[in-house]
Amino acid sequence: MREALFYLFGAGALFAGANVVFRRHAVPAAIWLVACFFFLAAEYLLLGFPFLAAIQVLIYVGAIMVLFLFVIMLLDLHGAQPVQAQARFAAGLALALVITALAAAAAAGGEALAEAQAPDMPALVEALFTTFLVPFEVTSLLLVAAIVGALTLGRSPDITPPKQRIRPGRDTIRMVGGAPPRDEAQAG
Amino acid sequence: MPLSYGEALQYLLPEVAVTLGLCVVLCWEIFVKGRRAWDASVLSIGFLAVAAVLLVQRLDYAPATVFGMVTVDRFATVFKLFITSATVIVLLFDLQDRRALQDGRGETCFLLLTAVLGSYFLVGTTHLLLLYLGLETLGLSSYVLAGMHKRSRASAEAALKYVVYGALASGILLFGASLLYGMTGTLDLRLMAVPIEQAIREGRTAQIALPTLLILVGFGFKLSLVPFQWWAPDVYQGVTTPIATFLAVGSKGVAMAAFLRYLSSAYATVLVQPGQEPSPYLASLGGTLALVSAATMIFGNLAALRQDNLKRLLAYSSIAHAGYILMGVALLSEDGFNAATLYTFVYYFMNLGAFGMVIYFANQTGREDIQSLQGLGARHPVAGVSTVVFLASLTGLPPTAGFAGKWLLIKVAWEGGLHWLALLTALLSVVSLFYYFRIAKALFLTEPARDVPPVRSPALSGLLGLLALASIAFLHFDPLLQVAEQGVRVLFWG
Repeated sequence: MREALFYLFGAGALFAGANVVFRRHAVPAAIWLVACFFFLAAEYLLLGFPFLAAIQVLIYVGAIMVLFLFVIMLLDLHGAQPVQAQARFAAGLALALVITALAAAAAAGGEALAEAQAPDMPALVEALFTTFLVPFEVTSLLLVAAIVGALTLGRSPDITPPKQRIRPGRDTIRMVGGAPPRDEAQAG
Repeated sequence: MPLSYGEALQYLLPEVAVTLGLCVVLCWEIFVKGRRAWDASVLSIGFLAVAAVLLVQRLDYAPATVFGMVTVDRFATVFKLFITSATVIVLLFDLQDRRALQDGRGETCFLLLTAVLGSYFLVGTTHLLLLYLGLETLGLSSYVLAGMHKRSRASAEAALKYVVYGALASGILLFGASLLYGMTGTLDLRLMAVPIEQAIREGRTAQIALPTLLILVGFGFKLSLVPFQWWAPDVYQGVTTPIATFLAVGSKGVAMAAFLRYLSSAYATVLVQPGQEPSPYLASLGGTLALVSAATMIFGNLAALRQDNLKRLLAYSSIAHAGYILMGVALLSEDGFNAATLYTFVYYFMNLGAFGMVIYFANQTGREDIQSLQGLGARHPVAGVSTVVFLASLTGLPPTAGFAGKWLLIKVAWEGGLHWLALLTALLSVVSLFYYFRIAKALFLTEPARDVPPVRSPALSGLLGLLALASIAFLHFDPLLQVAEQGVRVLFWG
């Protein structure tokens, strides 16, 4: 029974994942991604990781996907046309099939690993702050780098830099369009 | 022997210094009023210098694994010094580059520091989780660095290509790592060695070959090996020259180090010992790497022949050099890894110099093509002669370190039985002579097209001169070779 459910939810996750890729419009694709996350959460539950399942739903579905949807709707991507590239699609599908076949062949020879035991919360927390302390900290740095990167790339290039940076006569700024550069010292 | 928390932290002081540095740079950019454009660069260089001093002190530490997964040994420390010093030189280049962006320099410095920190963890671990995090931190910072030039379409295109290829490659690497985890039940490469050896002995090679291939794709992207090299020329050409230097030298060097550590840890018990035939599985892995190496050097050298843009030419040349280095890796023996490590060091000097040359002459002319160099050699003797030294080293001509490095690679490849690859390398070095010396010819053997007053930049020409001297001095490559050998010995014998 459990096994049947496992494969059922797995198939559901694959179906939803395929829909994320093949939908023409971004909003339905994002909603299919939500469905995919729900199926994955069910898989975690079946494998005996209720905490992971709850986190999956709370963080990915509750927080991240809602933000995604907001951004997609704000950007209003009506004009964006999906690319027509049958050849690339076929190549991608072939590659996916080959990798799946190879993975299946590779897995067929091996024996199943011992069933993972579900960790209780204290054990999980302890592992996070002892065994996995360094990766945990590196992840936080990775996220800081990502935030700074996103801000840097997202900032409009036409914002005038702070006034104190400009030293008249020594630094020059290039204005794109608009009025010719004024003497910033007099203006400020 | 378990270390106390304080003792363990001692090992990680260089990482702490860089982390502190990036926090200071970030806060400086946010809070300090009246800052100048180069403040952040000077701060970053200062913190990197502190990290470098701490790293030199750690060269003689006994190999240890702290916090369960950070390996501090000579190999890691040497490559941490490699990326630290490369980044300092990149920051100096950035200060000297007249076309560098004044706005956003603080962000550039911050992202370079995070890239350095990611590299530290990338080269200093045998744990796949930390290795992946290091690779991602380095990658993510590089993607943003590539897109910093916001008014330039080329820069935007470069960043987009880089991030799309990079995301795909790191996804494939992650898939390979998860398969390995599923088959061995551990993420630590050193613990994986035993189940891997067992699987090979029992003939279940498909289980190991597939994840290895997938992980090879991930590294192949970072190292721009054929057929994962398509991003490199466009990205190098599109980004500012200092960032291209960082990607070509720093990022590639540490990725090579991580690749060596991955191979030597995961296959610790089955690698080729002196005077011994490799097992069939290892022979086929070595054969695959040798084929990739051959394809990479052929592609890089032939494509470089037709390039006029200096940065694009250097991009193809760096692809070719990745192929040469991989030749040493393909031997899967200690000698091969030694030669590969040594060539990575040599690559560092000559490529920093070559990219510095692009910045120097672009400062003069505002252009980056070979024609713009016409007759500039006589007007700029130090930079001109240094450039010829770098070109000779890149070709592998005798009075330079490039010759020593390439000679060792060819020698070990010949002794290791890869005769065809050794011959191919020698042949392609002759081919590379044509495109490298087109640059030298433009500099010295053509008449100047028009009379441009030279822009003096003593700091940059001095830096180029020093790098050129190093490229010549390391022809007698004993110290470098010793560093490489001691590092690789740690990989093999702990």
